[in-house]
Amino acid sequence: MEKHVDVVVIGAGSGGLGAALYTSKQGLKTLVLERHNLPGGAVTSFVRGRFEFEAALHEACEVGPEGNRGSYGAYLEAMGVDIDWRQEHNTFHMVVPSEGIDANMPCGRQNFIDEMERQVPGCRESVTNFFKVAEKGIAGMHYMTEHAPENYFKGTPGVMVQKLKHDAQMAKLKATLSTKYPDFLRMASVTINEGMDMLEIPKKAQHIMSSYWVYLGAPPKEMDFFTNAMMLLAYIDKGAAVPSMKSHEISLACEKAVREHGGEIWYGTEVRKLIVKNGRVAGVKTDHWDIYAKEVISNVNPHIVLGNMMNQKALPEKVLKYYNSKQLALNLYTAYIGLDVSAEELGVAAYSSLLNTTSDGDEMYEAAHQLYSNGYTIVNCLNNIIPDSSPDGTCTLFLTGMTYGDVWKDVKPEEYRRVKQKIAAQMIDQAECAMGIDIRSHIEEIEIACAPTFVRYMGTPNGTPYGYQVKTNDGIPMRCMNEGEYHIIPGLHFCGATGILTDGFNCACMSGAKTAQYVVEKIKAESKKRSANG
Amino acid sequence: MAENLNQIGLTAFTKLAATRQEAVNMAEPEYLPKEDAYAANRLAKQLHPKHQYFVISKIKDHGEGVKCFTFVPDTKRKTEHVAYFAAGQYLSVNLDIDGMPVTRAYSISSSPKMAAEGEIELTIKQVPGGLVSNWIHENWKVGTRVDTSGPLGTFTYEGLRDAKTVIGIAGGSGITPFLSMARAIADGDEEFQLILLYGSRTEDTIVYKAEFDALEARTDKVKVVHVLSHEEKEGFEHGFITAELIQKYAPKEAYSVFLCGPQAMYDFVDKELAKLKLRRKFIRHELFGEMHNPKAQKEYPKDITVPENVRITVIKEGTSQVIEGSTDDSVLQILEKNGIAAPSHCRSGECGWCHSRLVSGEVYIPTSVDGRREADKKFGYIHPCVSFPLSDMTIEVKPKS
Repeated sequence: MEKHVDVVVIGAGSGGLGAALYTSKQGLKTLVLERHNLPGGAVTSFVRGRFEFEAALHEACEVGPEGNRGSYGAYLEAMGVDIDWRQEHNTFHMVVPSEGIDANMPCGRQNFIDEMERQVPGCRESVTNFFKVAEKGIAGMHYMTEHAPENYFKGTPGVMVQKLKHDAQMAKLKATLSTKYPDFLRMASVTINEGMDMLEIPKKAQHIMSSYWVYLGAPPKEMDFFTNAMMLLAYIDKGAAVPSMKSHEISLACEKAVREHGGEIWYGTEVRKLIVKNGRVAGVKTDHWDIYAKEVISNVNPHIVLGNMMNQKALPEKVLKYYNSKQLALNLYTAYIGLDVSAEELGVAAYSSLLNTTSDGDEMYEAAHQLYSNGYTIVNCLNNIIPDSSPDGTCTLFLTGMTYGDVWKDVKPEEYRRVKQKIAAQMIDQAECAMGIDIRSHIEEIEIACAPTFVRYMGTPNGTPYGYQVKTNDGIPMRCMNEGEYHIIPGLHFCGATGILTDGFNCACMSGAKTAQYVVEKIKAESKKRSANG
Repeated sequence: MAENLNQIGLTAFTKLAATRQEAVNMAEPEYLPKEDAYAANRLAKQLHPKHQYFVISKIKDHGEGVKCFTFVPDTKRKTEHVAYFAAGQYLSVNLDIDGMPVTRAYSISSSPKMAAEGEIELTIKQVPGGLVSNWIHENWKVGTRVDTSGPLGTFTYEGLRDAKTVIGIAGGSGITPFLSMARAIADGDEEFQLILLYGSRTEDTIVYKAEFDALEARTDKVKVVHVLSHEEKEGFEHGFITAELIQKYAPKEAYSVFLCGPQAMYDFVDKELAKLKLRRKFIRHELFGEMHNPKAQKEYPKDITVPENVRITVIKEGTSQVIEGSTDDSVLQILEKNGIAAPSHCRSGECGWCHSRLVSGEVYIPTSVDGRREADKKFGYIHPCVSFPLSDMTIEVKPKS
């Protein structure tokens, strides 16, 4: 069977839904194809016994409280997506027993600075400076991408989109950035470590302030200073948020809005091949349909799309070289635990605890190139934001650890369960020891997810939820400066964790929005051209 | 101090662009690999295949309407291995019964070790009046090709959660997951003590008696207590599985209770278990399959008139059709009876594989089997396998791969 639409979106993850919201709202006939039986990719939840577990979200960035929304919160609101967000007023609780660090870092710039000063006496001035510099940088970023929320619902193309239409204007953009926003370019040029050293921030304070690095997946010695600063500032200024009904609420609220805008979503429909005509992607093939589209947006990782859905012989060498220059991002393992004891009785007061054996992110990164725990475990207790997120007298813990590389290559199917039980046991032991709590006696439900689980539900290469590594030459600034790369294959446009804003619920969604904005402009321009010729 | 950042000339950024380009220039112009090139993707495919295509290699009749079917991979349909599983898991079998696409979940009775060696077994008991089990007994022969899911289900031992001793309570065909567990223990693939209270009518009707005797001889970690309801005999317990009986065989320290059997057994044993005041974490039930006769449920709506039959508009991949069905059937059963293949696995409201959007209309979902997420309820999603129509309705379902 054959079908014609304006836009096909492959994958209903955060990026795909973010894109479909925009194209459908702009009146384009949009069809989202999702091979799984649910929307969301990582933006989901699951049920075991009397517990519903959040699958992936630690804290949504850039949501902001009502009336002071961040870019993500504002975009979703503008797209008619109704989510009951709950705010978290602390950023993280960092615990490194071996170094005597026990830092519970609050939201709000002044509160954060005060606590930093308490943790590392004498750091106040340098940390204050960090914020000033970061703010200037972010202004430059906003200028460049016009990703300030108000620009999305006005439907005006961002500066970058215009630049892409008129290559000559790129020079002007660069000129404006270097005269008006030099700090942005400076921050983009150095690693986290280099930037913090230059600001003379004491090492211990640096370690606390860069502890979010794991959410972007590249270590402080390799990630650009700007990307980390932007994320940290977003959490400190706008707080972190979680949806009241776990991430599945985000996905269902998004898909509802897409349908209300006239878009369609098909679940259980897998794209087998891209249809290529006259050197451009013209649609997709599924088991039952040939679907033709003016433009195709892919939320699916480019490595999977190129490797499995297209004839790569037709691709120019530069495209292959471009994707081969990318490195797959980190892998996670997670344990979801339902306990038959309340958070209070268990003795966990923080929502988010970062447990480390060292505060040095680079050391942690090096230690993460192995199958088992590297000693960095994140513990989330959702009941501390949403008390009734599990039944009375119970609570849930969500433990997360990380690993890099092809560590699963020697694990046989027969060994898999034992390996993941060992990993979970390591994380539980660490949490019990560092937090002085008894988890083991209270486990009523436990589910352990590792790379094969993420492959099963998301289909990413090696199960990475994070796309490509966010290194200095591939951080947010560099990805934005090179936005054209996301449209390098004619007719095909990428968004999601590999997108211009890197990984994270908000980043993936907003990269979908950016990609959609580009696609809408392109379709409008083509149609104008046709009617002028016509 | 902020001036320190000014040490960086703006050319640094230009240089960064150059190093980015350099990385691209240095990269190989190779084709990006197929999914199988990634270790975790290979492992996921082995552990969680969407389909397993098998050929029946052996059938053993155990009497009492029980047959054990042995499967081997159907290499012609590209199944090369049997997916490894955890003892206690099930397979969802896809069948076409005279144009009616149905699924059934059956616990795996063979050991995980046997799967690693390339074989897997389902032991299926004929249910009197049952559509699928009788059809299988009649139609499955050696050489029959069978399409199943990968291993599914969470009725498995988890050392981080369960006590070191498990009291297994089995009735009827509920013995199959325990047989797999006992075999896994004897093979050294599971590490727990299994004390099995196994209910049968008489000694002659005990299915797998010899097999369990042999397992008990192989390992001291498996003990089987036969409980006969219709016979009093030396060496056997008599009557039903009561709190006293459980206590008689339970260890002094904490123990877990795993139950697998028909709904009637759960109704009885759950009351007995309540007397023992065990913590909830120590009691686990296997799913018991489809719920029948929804109108007999206490909470079935009484204040509205439910018609005998309803019309259901079914949307699938953008096309729709209208079907009719009885309000005694689940939405999933109505779909199947009308020849519509829709994905399903557990048929008990738990696994969520049939997750579908209720566009309009009303359904009754028994609370005890409502395994939906909170947001599903808010946004009108249902599990058709445990949803019973109360009115005409429109539903959007997925195609079956």
